[in-house]
Amino acid sequence: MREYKIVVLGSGGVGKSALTVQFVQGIFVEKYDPTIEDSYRKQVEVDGQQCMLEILDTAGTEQFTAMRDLYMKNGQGFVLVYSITAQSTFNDLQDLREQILRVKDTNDVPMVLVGNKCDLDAERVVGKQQGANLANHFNCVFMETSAKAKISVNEVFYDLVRQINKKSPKEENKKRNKKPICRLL
Amino acid sequence: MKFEEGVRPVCSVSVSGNGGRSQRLVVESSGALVVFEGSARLRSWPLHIARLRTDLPNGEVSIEMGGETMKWICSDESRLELSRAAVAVTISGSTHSLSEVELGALLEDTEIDDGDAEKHVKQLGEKLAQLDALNVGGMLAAATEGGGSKLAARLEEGSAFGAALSVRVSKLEALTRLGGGAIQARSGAARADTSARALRAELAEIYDWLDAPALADLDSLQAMSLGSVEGRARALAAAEALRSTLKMEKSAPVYRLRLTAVRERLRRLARARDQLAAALARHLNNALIHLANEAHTPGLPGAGRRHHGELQSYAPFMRWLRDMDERAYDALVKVYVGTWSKVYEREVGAACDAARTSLYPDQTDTLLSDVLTLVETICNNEQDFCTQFFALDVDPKESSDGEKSESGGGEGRQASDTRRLMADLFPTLEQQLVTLLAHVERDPYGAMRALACLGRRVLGEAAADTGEKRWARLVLAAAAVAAKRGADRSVTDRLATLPEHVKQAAKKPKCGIFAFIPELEEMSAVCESIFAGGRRADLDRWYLSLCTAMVATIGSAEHPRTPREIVHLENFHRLHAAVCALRVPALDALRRETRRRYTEALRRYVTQYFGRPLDKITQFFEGVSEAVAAGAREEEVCYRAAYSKHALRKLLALYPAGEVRRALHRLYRTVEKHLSEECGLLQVVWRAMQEEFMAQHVALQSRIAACYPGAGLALPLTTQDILDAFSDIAREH
Ligand SMILES: Nc1nc2c(ncn2[C@@H]2O[C@H](COP(=O)(O)OP(=O)(O)O)[C@@H](O)[C@H]2O)c(=O)[nH]1
Ligand SMILES: [Mg+2]
Repeated sequence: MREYKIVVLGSGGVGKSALTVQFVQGIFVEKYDPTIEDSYRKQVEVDGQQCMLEILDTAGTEQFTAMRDLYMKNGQGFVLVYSITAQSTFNDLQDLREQILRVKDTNDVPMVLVGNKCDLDAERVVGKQQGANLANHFNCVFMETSAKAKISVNEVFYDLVRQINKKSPKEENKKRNKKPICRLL
Repeated sequence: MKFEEGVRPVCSVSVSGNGGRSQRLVVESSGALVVFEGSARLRSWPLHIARLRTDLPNGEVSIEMGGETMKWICSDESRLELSRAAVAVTISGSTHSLSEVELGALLEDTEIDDGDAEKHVKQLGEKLAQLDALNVGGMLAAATEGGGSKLAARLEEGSAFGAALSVRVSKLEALTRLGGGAIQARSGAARADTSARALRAELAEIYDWLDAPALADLDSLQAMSLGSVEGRARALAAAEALRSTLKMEKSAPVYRLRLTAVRERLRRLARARDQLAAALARHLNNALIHLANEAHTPGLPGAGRRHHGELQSYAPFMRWLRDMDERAYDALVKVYVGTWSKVYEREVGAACDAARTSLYPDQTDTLLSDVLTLVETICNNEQDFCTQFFALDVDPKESSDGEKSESGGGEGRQASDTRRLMADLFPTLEQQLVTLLAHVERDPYGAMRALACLGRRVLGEAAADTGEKRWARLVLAAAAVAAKRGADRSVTDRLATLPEHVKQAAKKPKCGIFAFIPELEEMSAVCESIFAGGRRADLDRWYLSLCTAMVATIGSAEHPRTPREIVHLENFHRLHAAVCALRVPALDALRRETRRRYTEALRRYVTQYFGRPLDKITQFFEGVSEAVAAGAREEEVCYRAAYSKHALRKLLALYPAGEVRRALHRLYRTVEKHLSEECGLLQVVWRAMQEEFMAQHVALQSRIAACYPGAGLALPLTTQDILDAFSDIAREH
């Protein structure tokens, strides 16, 4: 089975963990407990293919930025999350994106821009169009989600899997296919 | 306002024009005076042809060319500014130069007596008029070619030259004032006055610039002792004066820098700067090495911080060096870093060792906290000290008068300079902490304790207000990630041992409870208190992954002697209890699942092992049921040979009450043999058996009543007999 290394990035409190846990475990986490670093594995079927997603949920706070380079190096696809209720979290993504491109040394990196907490429309400060514009500028997919109301959560990860497939079809598969044979021996 | 390319405004002042219109007069570097209104360029005059007058009464300024005069009114300062700028720009544009003799007429210290004054002034004025009166710059330039050595000499000595000139000029001024209208009328004299004033102002500025009083000490700099407070104060004053003087060279007007005397003076000052830098570097280097030796001397604890105090008095010099001699500065930083990085490595190493040797599980938090506090204290002190001592808070690109550099990147640069220096000072700190953590993790819950401790320090409420710019926080964050990985690893290790526990259980006569469940209970007992202060989410995640894996492990576990139903019954029962005790909402689904599987196992076990103690009777009635289902009436079934009263009576005789009791005893012993003591489920299972028996019994009884009414047939035991038998058996064992 092909493995997909996905990294969830964004400022603290935007709902990175909530989205990840909603996707992996189907639960909404109400309490805010700042993440240090959590990794999850989840098997899903995308377009008839079984995929093993390895999702890394990261810290959003300043002092952990030193870790990011390594996350970016190892990740194949990235979820860039902001909260539609906090402008600064939206503004922070530009730097993150640049860092990813720098680390990956390419412009073509599987990525989804996510405006989370769309259930809180009354508190919205980042317009949907603003998000769409930024995604356009990033040349990546844009989705507004709600980890709480389960809106477009799975789609974020599925889309990323499709992007990774499109960018590097099968190459990983070949490597993986050898493994079971080795084990048999 | 727009300017032609290469042309810049030298000065710009607001004036009030004809009819009080608000305009601006601008002197441009091209040598033109321009009048603007708003952004409109109204008109311009070449200053070397037109005549600018700034000495008119009532704050008037005028420009005169080709017989036409325009006038404005402005402040005195603006007038002075205009006249100076006009001087400045006409110098560069000037093709004239005064001869030494001509200059002499202006500068030589000939005594002027009152009678001569008018004549003298007139003379001067005429000369100047001939030569273009505003060309004071030209005069100065000439002065430095011919009389340059003299000026230079005077500058060096801090001479009274300026004063003398100023005396002379003020005399002239007084005289011209005395002369009143008569002299004013003579344009030559007036222009001479303007020129003299401009010249004086210019010279005064040059003196202010290059011959500040603090520069007087330059020659004795070598002899100054940096070891004494007084010596340092003098050296610092001289150093600062040197710095500001030399800094101004960048912004000095070109014509000033053309003056030989000025150039010479600047060279001399630069030499003095180099000598001072060298002396400072030598002294600071010695001081650093001395303190380093002291710090390396064993048995001097706390020497680590003492050097801050001792070095503090040199901070202004370090700041100066950073500005004036980057190489010397860099070299000193290197010496400092080389020394103290070793001292701190040793100090932190010792603290880690001490913590390691006295590490007991219940003290992990305290010991780790102490080390972290020490590390934070050392780092924060060091950061504060270095920021100040090495002037990291000052952008070297900033100009000396403290105005911010254009780039705006000052802040980011300072932050990265600080980070780099701190990283150089503590190159092994992170690794030291990680090594300590690895040691802490040897204790079964060490990783959890370390995570709780670091999580609290790095992400806890107390951590929020301890400044983002602290470098120590980056190190602690890295350690927190290491601790988190360690804790996750310890859970992964637990997960990996689950199949091992199943294998272990297979060696025992009875399966019983897999050891991983009591371990989970123990883990929760320990961890709930470890994480009472936070990081609940991590704990819940571990519970979820452990419990999920346990359900799967139990579900597929086999035991050579214990039936599968009992393995499930006992383990799901216990796991269910454990999950309930955790009270974690994320485990709700698992709680229901374990309960379902436990109930299911009990049902299957009872069905399978209780079996049908009255099997033949049961079979008999199954036949009866079939016959009834096929159309026979219940009360008529007894007329069929196979289901006659006689046949039933013979069957019932096979099950005397005593025999049934004995069968129940045997069943009890089997159940007892299967079940483990630790679980205490015997009563539960026995009760389920009793219920099962009762259900079968009641069903048979109602069949007998329906099909064989009045035949006097009854099951070997009454309902009460059964209840008594079950409780008797349970009590006996
Ligand atoms: N209303 C709402 N709250 C959310 C949503 N996602 C996350 N949150 C809340 O926002 C807070 C921070 O979420 P978290 O996932 O821990 O943020 P992270 O720091 O990015 O991992 C928590 O209190 C969550 O309950 C969402 O989609 N809607
Ligand atoms: Mg999080």
